[in-house]
Amino acid sequence: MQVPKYYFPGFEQVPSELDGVMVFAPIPEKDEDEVRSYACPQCGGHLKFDVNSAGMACIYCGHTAPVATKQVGKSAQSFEFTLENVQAAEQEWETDRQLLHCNNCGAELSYPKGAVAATCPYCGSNKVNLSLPKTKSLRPQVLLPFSATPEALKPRIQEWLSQGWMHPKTLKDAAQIDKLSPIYLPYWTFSTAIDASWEAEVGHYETETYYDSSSKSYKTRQVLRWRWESGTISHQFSDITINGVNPQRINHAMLSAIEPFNLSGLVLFSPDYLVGMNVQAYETPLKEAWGYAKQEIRTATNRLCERDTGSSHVRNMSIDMSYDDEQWRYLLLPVYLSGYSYGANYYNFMLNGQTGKLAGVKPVDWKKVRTVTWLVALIPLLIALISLIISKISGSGALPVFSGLIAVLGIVISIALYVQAKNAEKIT
Amino acid sequence: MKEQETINRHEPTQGESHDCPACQRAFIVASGWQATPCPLCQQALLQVSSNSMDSAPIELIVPPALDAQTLSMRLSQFTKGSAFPYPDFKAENLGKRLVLVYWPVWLTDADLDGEWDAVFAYDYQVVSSREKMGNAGWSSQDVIKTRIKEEPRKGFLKRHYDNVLSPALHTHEQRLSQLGTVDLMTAHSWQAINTAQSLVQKETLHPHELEDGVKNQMANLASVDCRKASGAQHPRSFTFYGEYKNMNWTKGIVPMFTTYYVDDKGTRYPIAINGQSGTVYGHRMASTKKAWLFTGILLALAIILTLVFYFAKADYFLCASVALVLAFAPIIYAAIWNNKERVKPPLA
Repeated sequence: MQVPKYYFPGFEQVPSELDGVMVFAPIPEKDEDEVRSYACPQCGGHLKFDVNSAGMACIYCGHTAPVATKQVGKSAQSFEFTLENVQAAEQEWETDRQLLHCNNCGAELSYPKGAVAATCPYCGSNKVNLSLPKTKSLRPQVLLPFSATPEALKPRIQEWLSQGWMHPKTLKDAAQIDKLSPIYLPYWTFSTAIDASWEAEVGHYETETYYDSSSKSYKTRQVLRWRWESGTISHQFSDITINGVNPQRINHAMLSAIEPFNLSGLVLFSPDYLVGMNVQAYETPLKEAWGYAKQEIRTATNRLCERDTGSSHVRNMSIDMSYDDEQWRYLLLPVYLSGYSYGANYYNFMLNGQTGKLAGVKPVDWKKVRTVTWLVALIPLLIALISLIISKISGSGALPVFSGLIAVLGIVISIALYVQAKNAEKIT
Repeated sequence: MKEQETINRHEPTQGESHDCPACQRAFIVASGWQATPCPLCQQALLQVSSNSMDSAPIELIVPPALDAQTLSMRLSQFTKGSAFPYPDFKAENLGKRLVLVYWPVWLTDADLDGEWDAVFAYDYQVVSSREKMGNAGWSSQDVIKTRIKEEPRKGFLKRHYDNVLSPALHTHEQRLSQLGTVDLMTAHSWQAINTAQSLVQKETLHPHELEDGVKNQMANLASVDCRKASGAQHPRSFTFYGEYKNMNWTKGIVPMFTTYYVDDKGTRYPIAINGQSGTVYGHRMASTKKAWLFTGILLALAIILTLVFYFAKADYFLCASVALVLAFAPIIYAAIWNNKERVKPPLA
């Protein structure tokens, strides 16, 4: 059978399993690596994504152009755990370091696995071949563009540095703050429906009448009675977010502190957003990330089942849970990474590129903290000693008890302040 | 679309055309046969038809596949379990009166050539989970689930379809529902000698009335082929836009046996047997005469029992009353049985 090529627009011929029948299927999207040039149409300079204009901007002449994309929000395409997707996610993870090719100067750049776009360190060109995973579903389909500008975030950083009496007074003025580095970090989102049946011993308070032999009368009392009960629950979990970055590369606790991201601002992926930005591909594979999401689902399901019992007294609970309609998405979320030098040390902080929420590490002025905690502990102690002496002289008995209580309180407060200072050294 | 359509013309059938004045069915009867009752209604003798050339020639014949022993066994199974059977309703009697009757079907060949457009559904597998929480904490188990996705497909078809069966009788579907399906695999060319000892029922439907139906059947076969060619598991929608070329109609005949039994009043009840599978169909009427006889005997016994109890002044009056009522059971059962049998449609 001879037919003209492309007889059916949008369809291509596929193998037929029967003689005398020709089969055409929709043409799948091409899985070729995308090569784009980002030269300014006005001056030939380099274009990069500009957060202020939310589009492409020339770093030399200031020419701007919008990014061709579409806001999809939470309705962005998601994928199922098909055998192909699961196998591809594992196989592609095995790929070692990858080569990126600079289209401007021809340099071959070796990047660790995970990097998907870069600026050439030799010529500064953004014309770098995007080397993306072969499987379409394992490429970011959507991303959340940067909407908080570095200029708008500077006052917030200053304010954050000035907060807290435990930190050095000079921190705000003496800290040498680095430039904010925008980076798109990989995230997985998971949605699923669950049906769970539970069985547990549930305790209910019941009023019991009993004979009190001491008062020789009948009285009532509340008794906790345990009964085996069972029930079923159904629940839909939507967009459980798991970051896909190696914890050795980026502090997960700090990352969690700048969440959440508002996923209703998701837009369809366009390489334009990545120009001039650092982008990190996932390092936590799909299966591992799904494992983390399942842990959250288990905890939530356990809570839902306990709530379903209608009692706060539950023991020996067993749950049988099945998942249905599991969906996942791979997306890029905007984060600013930065840090500052203070004294001889360097401290990291990061900001949510969408909401501007900040989290980081600040030094603690231990001299100040020690002075305060000692004072808080010693002053009540001194007062207690003085009142003990006075009471010995005057013969009063109540004063030492009262001052003793104040001394204990002072010690407790000073310990609490010390613990708070220790925590302030961590992420705030 | 220029359609080439032919009806095979062979030598005329050896025999005479006969009609049944009672049921209006028409048959080809081998020359030299004596006047025979209509094998399908058994209500009248077949009469020579005035219109003898209104039947297409037979091209293919499916021979009977039942031997005498199997036929006898099927008839025995059919007669067993009948309520108050007529004395004539016996396998031996039915076997003696067997007549081989062929009934017609149309077989169509055509070349389908053209474009098709479809939506097919494909099975695919996903990895799901089932988890349990007990005293030892959570345990997880992967579960492979099969889901279905729909995808559009288009293409071209150029295939020949052979012997697509279509009805030649208005009662074709009813007959299939009564006697079961026919298998054309053993069909061979017809020769006059094949039907010399049998009757052949004449067709009541002609190709020009059947064309749309046959095209639909062929499109359905094309749908199955295109789905297989696409590697899909489930059909959703299918449209064939091409031509049905070289349509060729062939008349074939398939076998059945008919027989009958007679009731107390001499009325004949026809019975038919699928000539290939041996499925038997017919009304198995109960003899009301026999049922009344049983009722009479039981009634007499019940009355005697009642009188004995009465004169013996035994206190079993209730038992006697029950016996009197139960005596009518045979005739009531026979009436119910016959009503159930009468509801069954007559032989198609």
